[in-house]
Amino acid sequence: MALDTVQDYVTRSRTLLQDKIEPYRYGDDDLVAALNEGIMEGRRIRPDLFQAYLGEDLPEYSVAAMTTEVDIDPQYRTAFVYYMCGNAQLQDDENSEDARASMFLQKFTAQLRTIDA
Amino acid sequence: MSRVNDFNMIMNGARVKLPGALDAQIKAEIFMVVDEFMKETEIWTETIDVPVNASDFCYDVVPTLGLPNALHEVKTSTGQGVAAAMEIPGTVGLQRQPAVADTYKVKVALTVAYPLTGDDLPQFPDWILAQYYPVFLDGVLARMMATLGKPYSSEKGALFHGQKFRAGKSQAMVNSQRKNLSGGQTWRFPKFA
Repeated sequence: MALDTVQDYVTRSRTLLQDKIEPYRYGDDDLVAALNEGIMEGRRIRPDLFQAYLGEDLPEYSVAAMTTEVDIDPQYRTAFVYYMCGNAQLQDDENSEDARASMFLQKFTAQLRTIDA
Repeated sequence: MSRVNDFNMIMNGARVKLPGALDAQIKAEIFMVVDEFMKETEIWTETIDVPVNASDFCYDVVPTLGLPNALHEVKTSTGQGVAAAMEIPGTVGLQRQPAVADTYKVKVALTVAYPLTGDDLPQFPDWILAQYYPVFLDGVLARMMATLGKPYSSEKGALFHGQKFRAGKSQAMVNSQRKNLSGGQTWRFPKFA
């Protein structure tokens, strides 16, 4: 299935970020950190997505284990890709990137909360 | 021909009507709905043989499946009624010690027990699922739609399905009282006459 592993998320994010050629603008560690932060955000907005971790530590992924499967329901995996892209682009300080970052982050929240997004 | 004997009708109905809902959450709500249904309707009963002696007042009641929720009646082996109560579900307390050792028949209403099966679904008699799966679905939809900040949140939907769920529970109680006899006599001459 699509977006199974950490590597899948990083690869897909790079496509949306137009950052597929080395040396990368956004390193793997930045994107994996964004994924981990997205999971924390997801836990806040949709606790039911992480029912298995209620009362426990959330999963945390690492660049040292890119083949690890990411435990997110298939219905919501693309939302986390958008979060990774938005979070990565927040690092930039150009106006156009700010707008794009904001769009990605809003799409992440909207997809978790509504059907129409 | 076959009757509904698994939860697919409920799961698929919920998946379609609750876009974006997670299976784990649906299953958790199924347990809550079935538990509420069983406790309020008391349609799931079992008569359990309980050996009694002349020295004890309290006896544990262990059903085949599920957990005791309410005590319906206690009778001796000869069919005589016995005064008893169940202050703590699962433990029957007799008002008087039995005069002689006997095997009492204790009828209790049951509800679903935790832990669940390997598929995280509650276990209870198949006939109840076959008869009342639409009622369970309404209960699940009502509870899920009442949650905030979800793609399937709907106040009106929650109210609508909640009303249907309550009506379904009432009908189940009536069906149980009439022993599922269609058009049967709704009034019976009192037992004392």
